[in-house]
Amino acid sequence: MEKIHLETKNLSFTYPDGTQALKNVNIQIKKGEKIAIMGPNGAGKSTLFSHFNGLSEPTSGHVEIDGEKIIFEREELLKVRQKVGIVFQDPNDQLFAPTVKEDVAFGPMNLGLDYDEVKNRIKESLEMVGMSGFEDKTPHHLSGGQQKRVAIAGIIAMRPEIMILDEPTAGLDPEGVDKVLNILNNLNDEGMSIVISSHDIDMVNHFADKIFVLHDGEIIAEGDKHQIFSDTELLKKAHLKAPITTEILYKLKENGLDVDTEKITVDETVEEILNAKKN
Amino acid sequence: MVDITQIMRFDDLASKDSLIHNLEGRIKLIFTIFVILVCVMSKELFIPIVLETILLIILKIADLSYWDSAKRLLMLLPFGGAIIIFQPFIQPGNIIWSYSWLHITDGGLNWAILLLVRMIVCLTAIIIYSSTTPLQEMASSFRKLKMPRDLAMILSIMVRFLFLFVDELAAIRKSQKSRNFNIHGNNTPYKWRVKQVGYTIGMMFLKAYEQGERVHKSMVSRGFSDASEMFDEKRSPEKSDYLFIIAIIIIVIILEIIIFKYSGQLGYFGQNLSIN
Repeated sequence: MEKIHLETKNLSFTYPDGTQALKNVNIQIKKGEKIAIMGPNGAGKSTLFSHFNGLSEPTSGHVEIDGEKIIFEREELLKVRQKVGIVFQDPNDQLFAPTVKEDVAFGPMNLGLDYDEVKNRIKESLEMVGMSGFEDKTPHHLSGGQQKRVAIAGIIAMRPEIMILDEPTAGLDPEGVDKVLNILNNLNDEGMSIVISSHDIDMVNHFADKIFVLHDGEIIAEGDKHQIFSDTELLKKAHLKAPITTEILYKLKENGLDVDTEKITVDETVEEILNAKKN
Repeated sequence: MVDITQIMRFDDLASKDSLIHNLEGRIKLIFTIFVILVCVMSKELFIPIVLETILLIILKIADLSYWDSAKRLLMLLPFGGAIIIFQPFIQPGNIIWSYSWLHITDGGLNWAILLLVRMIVCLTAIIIYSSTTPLQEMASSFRKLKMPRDLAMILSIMVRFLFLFVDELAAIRKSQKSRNFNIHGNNTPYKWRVKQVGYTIGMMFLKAYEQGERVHKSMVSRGFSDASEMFDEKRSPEKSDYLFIIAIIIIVIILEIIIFKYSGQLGYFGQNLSIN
């Protein structure tokens, strides 16, 4: 059996003003998985993420990393935050240092690493995200895509085992999206588990192995992309839009063609249509 | 019009390439502090005037515009100028001009001249420092010179978010402008316009507060604690940095010797103008 890396057990969270943001959330993330958590704005995605490395303390239930409950003590939290890195949605929330290298160095410095090791990690992480040569630049002068990559480098430099990214492709141009997804796929190939949140169906379709649908603080569905995207009722409930391929297949089915609506990718859809035409 | 959005331009100016721009940040900071100290301790005009001449030469080497620098100087001058302007009237000495109860004394006038010259030299030094050193380099120079950690962290974060603040403010102003808002316009009641400016300031406070909360959260998520240190790349000053600072120290020593030995021959410039 694959090892469970991160797990939430009956996780609930209520804000001080009484808003219940998470209700009995149970999810399991296995080592090396690429997970997407989908849901409309205000579904509780960011709140859920802030529990993954102990930024928020659950009202009830708990989070386990490698089978161990997160303990809210300083030393323990430092260990958790080294294992689970979070890349925030807006790079301006994350890049706080005056230069790129100082920002990337921030995490490793907090881990108490020595000067040479920190320097080494700056170089290595910036190389991994294709931002070598930008060490002395001010984050403010970078483009949105570049800022996002530097923010990811800042987390890579801590060498986490799980990387959590809140809306990693929001506001990026198509090239920027591709670059970020490439980086995430490379990290995943090296064994890192990746969890993203998004409502970009096409991106999730390409990227994720497994999808959780979060709605009103509850997980209302989980499964692979075929199961999730072909369920139009579910997508409607979660205020998400089905991929265009699914819509086409549904229309064809309504018009009497015998097609499998669980096919998602363009190639699969084309094949389905050709097969249906032959029959 | 000078406004906060011009800060971007200053930082571009500070990132140019010249002999002075390329000096190490710490060396420039030490130089500035040294010039200020020597200047405020001089009781004669001679040393401040020679220092000002040197600073003007440095200004030229750094390829900075005399006109822009003078404008910045004039903008800063009133802060100290307000104190200087009263000195001729309130300090004791021989009366050289009087009208009813108003007197100007020679001691007071000399003291005011000395203060003014000292102030111009100090401000010129600061203008050169700030025009040749980008903000982030200033922050890191202060850190390297062992500024207390918390203050250094605040300074670094301020430097980073000042630009974001300016961007946000510019965005709000642009959106107001696009809806025909004009603070000097007469189409709307004055009170209403002031209220809108108040809203803008309030909104900026709120945005800054919320941004601060989010940044703190992201810092904590990367292991931030009260013991956190910022990363400083080890860069030792180069030969040119040492040469620069040694040259200025030697010049000051020579000037001090000249004042000590030949102050009598320098006339008014060698005279002790201080009232203390």
